[in-house]
Amino acid sequence: MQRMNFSETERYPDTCQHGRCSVLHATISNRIVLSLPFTVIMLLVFACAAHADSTHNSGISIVISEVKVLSVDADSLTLSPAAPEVIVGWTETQIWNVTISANVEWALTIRGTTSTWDGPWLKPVGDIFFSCGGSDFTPIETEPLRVCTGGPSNNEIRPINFKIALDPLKDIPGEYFYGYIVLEFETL
Amino acid sequence: MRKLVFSVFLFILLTVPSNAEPEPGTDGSLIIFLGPVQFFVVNNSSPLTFTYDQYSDFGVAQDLGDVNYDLISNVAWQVWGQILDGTGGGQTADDWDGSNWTLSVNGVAVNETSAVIIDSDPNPANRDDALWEVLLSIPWPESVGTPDCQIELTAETV
Repeated sequence: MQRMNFSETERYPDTCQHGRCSVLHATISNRIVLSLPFTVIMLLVFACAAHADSTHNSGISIVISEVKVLSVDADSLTLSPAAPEVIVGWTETQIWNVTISANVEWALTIRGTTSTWDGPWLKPVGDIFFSCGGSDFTPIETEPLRVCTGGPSNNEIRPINFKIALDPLKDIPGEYFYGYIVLEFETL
Repeated sequence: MRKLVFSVFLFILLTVPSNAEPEPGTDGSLIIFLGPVQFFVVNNSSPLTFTYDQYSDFGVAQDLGDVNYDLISNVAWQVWGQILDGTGGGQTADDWDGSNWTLSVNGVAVNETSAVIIDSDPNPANRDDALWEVLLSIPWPESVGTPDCQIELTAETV
């Protein structure tokens, strides 16, 4: 009750001579000091209020690139044709198992890196024939030829059949090497 | 704005390698070890026959027909011929007069005593249903009979 009787000057004795003016000055200073935290708090309050009023999902954005993986079960095929194969004109069919994993539609191509074999004579790359999925045998070229196609797959095995044409008039005894046969994905 | 720039950068970072790299692939090689190969077969299913029933048939080479054969060789080759006058194949033995008669295959006289080369080539061959002419000359006179023989033909690589 006594405090209610104090004049403004008594309450702030060390201020300027106009007690009321001192009170106003102090009030303004406090407001200036408190204004920044106050603003932050208010923003948080508003933000919380806003969150409480609506659903807001956190966004996650990823990019899954086109992935295609290819492997074969053997780096090389070695053949030793016997007389019956030379007489018939073909080696026995060899199989390359190609394992494919892809997350897109794919097409597989095959090509030879050189136009001839290394060996006793320049045996042409076209003497190598391939087939996939029961298709007719097709001679390999140095330009890519489509072997087969497929969709998204995981470790899908596609056997590719190979056989080599033999000509007794040209394929004289010796060692013949062909490197390399390249299997690649074709861009669709 | 920074976020936008970062996002674009991230996008490029993730997609450019996929587009810039060549399509994945794999390769393999082929090796052939090829040795000398030879295939030889005579296709005649019945004997060559000839009937000497005229005087003019004697003393001159008569065409008995041809040896039909297949020969495949990826190296130099040669074929030997020799007359066999035994009992093989139902033949009557020792009724062929190899001393006085001249039997030739591919123009080369063959005999009973030793094999002779009737054909050869330093190059590979791939002959199918090829023919060697067979000629026989029997001098006059010759007694009546039905002499027979076999011609053994042997191919070999050189």
